[in-house]
Amino acid sequence: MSNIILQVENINKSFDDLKAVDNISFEVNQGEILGLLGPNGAGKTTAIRMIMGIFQPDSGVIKYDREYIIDKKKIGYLPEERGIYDDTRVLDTILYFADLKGMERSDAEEKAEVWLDRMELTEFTQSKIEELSKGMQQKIQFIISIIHKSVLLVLDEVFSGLDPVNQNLFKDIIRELADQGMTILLSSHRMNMVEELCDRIFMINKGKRVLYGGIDKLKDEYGIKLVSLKFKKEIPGISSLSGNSNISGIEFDRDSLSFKVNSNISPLEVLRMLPDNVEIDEISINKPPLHDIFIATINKGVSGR
Amino acid sequence: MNDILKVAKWEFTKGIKNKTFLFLTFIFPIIMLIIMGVVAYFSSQGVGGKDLYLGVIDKTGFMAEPLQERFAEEEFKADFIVVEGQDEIKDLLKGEKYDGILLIPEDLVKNNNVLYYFNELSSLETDFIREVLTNILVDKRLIERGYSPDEIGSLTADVKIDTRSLKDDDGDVGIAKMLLPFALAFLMVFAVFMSGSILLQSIIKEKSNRIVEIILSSISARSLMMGKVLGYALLSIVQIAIWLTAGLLVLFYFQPTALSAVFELKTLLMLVYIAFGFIIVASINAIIASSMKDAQSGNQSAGIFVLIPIIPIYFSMPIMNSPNGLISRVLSFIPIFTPTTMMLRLSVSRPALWEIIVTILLLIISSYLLMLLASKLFRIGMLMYGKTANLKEIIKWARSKDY
Repeated sequence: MSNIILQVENINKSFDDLKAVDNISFEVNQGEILGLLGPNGAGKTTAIRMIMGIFQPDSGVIKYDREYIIDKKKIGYLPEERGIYDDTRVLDTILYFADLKGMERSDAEEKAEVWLDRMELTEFTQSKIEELSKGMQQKIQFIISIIHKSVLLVLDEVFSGLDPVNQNLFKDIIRELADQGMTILLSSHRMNMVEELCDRIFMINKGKRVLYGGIDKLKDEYGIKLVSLKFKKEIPGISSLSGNSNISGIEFDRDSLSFKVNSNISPLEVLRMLPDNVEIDEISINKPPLHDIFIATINKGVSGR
Repeated sequence: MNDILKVAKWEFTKGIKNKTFLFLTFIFPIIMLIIMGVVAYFSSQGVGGKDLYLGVIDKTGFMAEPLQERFAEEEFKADFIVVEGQDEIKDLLKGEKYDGILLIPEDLVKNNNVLYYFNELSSLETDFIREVLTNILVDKRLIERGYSPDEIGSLTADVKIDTRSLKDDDGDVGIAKMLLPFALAFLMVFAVFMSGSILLQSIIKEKSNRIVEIILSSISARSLMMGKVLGYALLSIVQIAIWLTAGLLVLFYFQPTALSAVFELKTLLMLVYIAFGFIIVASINAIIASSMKDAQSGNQSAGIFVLIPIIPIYFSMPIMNSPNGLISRVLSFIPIFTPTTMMLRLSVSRPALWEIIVTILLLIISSYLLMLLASKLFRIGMLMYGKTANLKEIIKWARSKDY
């Protein structure tokens, strides 16, 4: 059994009348990347702040590597709201935060050099931070959160404000850190990134858990696959499909067709549903993207109220 | 503890490069010295530093000559004119040739009364004129009684006051020695408030751009606050040291004998009080800054609270006139006023030993409690979003077990 680095048990947090986090529990295993998802105002940042020891939960327990008390030196954190000194120099600032995490100065200098190089910021080592662009400042903040060898890394909205090239750079680094054994909890609205990076996700809405588990498993449980077809010739008739109770959301064009099918239907069965005389040019049967599941889950939550 | 030192070191290095700090540390004393020099120069130039040009209407017939002599000694000018009626005097004053017109009536010797018409009245002017006229009149009366000028000189000689301290026998150091401790007290209070306000700005900045979240994910809120307070305390010390050194050098050059006024036990006590003063000011500023949304709101309403500890400055006249009087004593035992009041009292007197012991004990207890309160409110306030907290909310935080 894998080593649980972060264990969250039934935590609650209210602000005045608002129940920001409502009895949520999850765990993150060593070397795993857990995605914390949810719409704006769902309670993600509050949950993260409790994990970071910035807030105390009203009730519930958070365990770090089986300890009840957080060792702040072993945790890396990139907050959602990016703030950094603007009138200090890049290297000095990185070294200060590394110092607060208890790093030796020589070690910190060495690592800072490596990371600045990786982020292509070497030439700005002695610049004042206010002279840097927003994206560059974000890279500095990212370096600050990962420079010390933390056991747990918490990244809140790590991709926001980054261009696609830098999103990929960050993604690669996060993957590498996890491969080296770092445990990572990340929140993001970039579903494609979450899908590529995370092993499992925890989705929260209005303070409550709505989804939790491995991405593949969640997709299976979502119960629908997406079928799309392209034909060589015009299709003679597909009316036979619309009567099938396993199929929904049919959309078709002159030579293409897409529909949703219950996930217990195998690809072979899907093919058998089609009229015999069609000549298929392309076919794909996919599990739905996380994006669809996210939206459907949130909407279900709204209509369910 | 280690974390506190790390923060202190960072804040200190940042603060010492701060432009406001550099300006106030180096330029401000120079400006002050220049202003003091200018004031000193003009006050040495006779009455208010300006030449007095008088029109004198002498109806006695004997005042003109001695007045002319006396005025010449003081480099004043006077014309002896003949005018009839008030209207003419008014016209003359309107012409602005004369600063004032002195009407000496015939019956001066009997009534001891003159009339002075003026455009702008200064008490120095009238004091001076009164003194001169009195002297002349006294001389005249004495001559009429048959005294010789030599006799008159010895009969009317002024009493001279030599100042000499009993504590040590370094002789006549006069006013410099009296003012020095006061200047020292004022300097320290000023330095503390200055670095206190840089502290305030730095906290607001960290809060409003959310750096605080990264910091608080590494160290405790208490370490952060204490580190900041310590860092800016060191900054104050450096500033006071710079000013003190500069001041002592100037003093050494102009009046070396007064130097002994600085090297006293009193100065050491002042340093103790100002240290507590700093803790109080810094704690108040930390509470205020952490409850603010941004720097703008930091400057508005907070100003009132920041100024509370220097309220005794407004009482500096009664305190210095009566350093062991009721006002002085009452203010001394209200912890928030203690440092400033005791500094002022120390600068002009020696408060009783028991008062010093009790006030310091009081300060130890109250500043400890204040720091506890401040670090709690600081932690809550720093993580608040969006709005500036009002007093009611701050009281609620203070009562809450946690947030």
